[in-house]
Amino acid sequence: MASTGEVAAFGTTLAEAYWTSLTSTNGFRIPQAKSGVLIGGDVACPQMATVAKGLSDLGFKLYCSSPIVEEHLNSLPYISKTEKIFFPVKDKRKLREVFDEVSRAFLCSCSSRDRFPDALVYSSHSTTSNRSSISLPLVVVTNSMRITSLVETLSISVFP
Amino acid sequence: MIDSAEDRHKFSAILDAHGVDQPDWVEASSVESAKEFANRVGYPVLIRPSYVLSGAAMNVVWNESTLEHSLTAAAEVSSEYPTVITKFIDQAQEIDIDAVAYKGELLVHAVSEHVENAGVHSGDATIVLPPFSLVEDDMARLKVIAQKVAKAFHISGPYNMQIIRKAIPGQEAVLKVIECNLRASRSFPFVSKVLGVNFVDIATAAIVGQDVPAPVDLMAQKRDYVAIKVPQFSWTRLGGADPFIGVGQFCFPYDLCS
Repeated sequence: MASTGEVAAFGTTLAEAYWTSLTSTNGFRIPQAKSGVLIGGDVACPQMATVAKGLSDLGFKLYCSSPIVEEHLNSLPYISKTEKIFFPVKDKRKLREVFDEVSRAFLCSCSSRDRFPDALVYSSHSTTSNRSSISLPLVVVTNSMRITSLVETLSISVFP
Repeated sequence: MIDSAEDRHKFSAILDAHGVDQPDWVEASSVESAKEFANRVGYPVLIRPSYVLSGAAMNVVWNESTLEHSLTAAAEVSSEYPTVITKFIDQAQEIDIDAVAYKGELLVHAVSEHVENAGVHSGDATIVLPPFSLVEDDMARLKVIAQKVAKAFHISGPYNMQIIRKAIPGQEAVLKVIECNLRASRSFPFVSKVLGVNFVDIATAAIVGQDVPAPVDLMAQKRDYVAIKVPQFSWTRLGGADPFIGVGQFCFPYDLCS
């Protein structure tokens, strides 16, 4: 049964409180070490680079679906190579196989400007990947500040 | 008093009279006046039809063609149903204040900080209490704003405010009131539990005017813990919805089109 609302938790630190409340929400799956993360969104968003660097440092494999994101992330120094993958958007079974292979952890979307025109170019991709997170057991994070906090929390509390 | 807070003209006039800062806004009764305002203050702007709950049909608009579309196709703008258009401050922090006042005097207040930048509905946002990035000067100024608002509306009872904070290097941060509701918000139980003080009890005492406690600054007390509230969505029940959070509320959805 999917419930709706809010979950609050206490902690001695920000990271501890955040991790406790996140893991208490319905459907949250703890990212497996060294699994894949799909990154999408607006390359103009400064958090995309910091998030990619943080995830790379934690040992996650980086994936994207957009050539613009691929170029942007691969131009950054000191992070692992980002691999572009193709989404068979019309075939749900094949789509699932893609997610099985690349994204066992979670996918995140960094967009400083929600539904900003430039980001809409890849909206068909991002909607597909965002929506897929619902039918597949994936964690999706669609806010740049939220993913920044999650990466900080992972590095402090989960994979120190 | 509720009318003073809901009616945008009265609300802004009262805030102005008491020296409380707020973003630029206009009540547009035609597409032309909306465009004129947006060009003057610069995009992005936030559009919201009058008298709506929970940010339903609210939208952040980044250019003129989207503005025109939003005001004609999505919602009919006319002199009878004007739309409030506000300057949207991009890349700014959002702060929640929950408070209780008695006869215009602030009794207790809680300052919570959003993890997400302004533009995510507070019901869908990740909220931290006590705040983790606000300096003492900000906290003092936020308390003054809460006191001014309590006095301005002669509040006896609960109220909540949303405030934008935009840091400017080398200067003090800009603090602007974006919303004020003369009622208890859903975060009342959260702040009561975190601060260990029952805000509803105090609000009840303030409303009936009996056994009203003395004012106390709960935010001045240092705490060795932090609490975070995260949203719990149920996307599986919202067929076809793109799980993207915005100014409209999804956590308790009223209108999926927003």
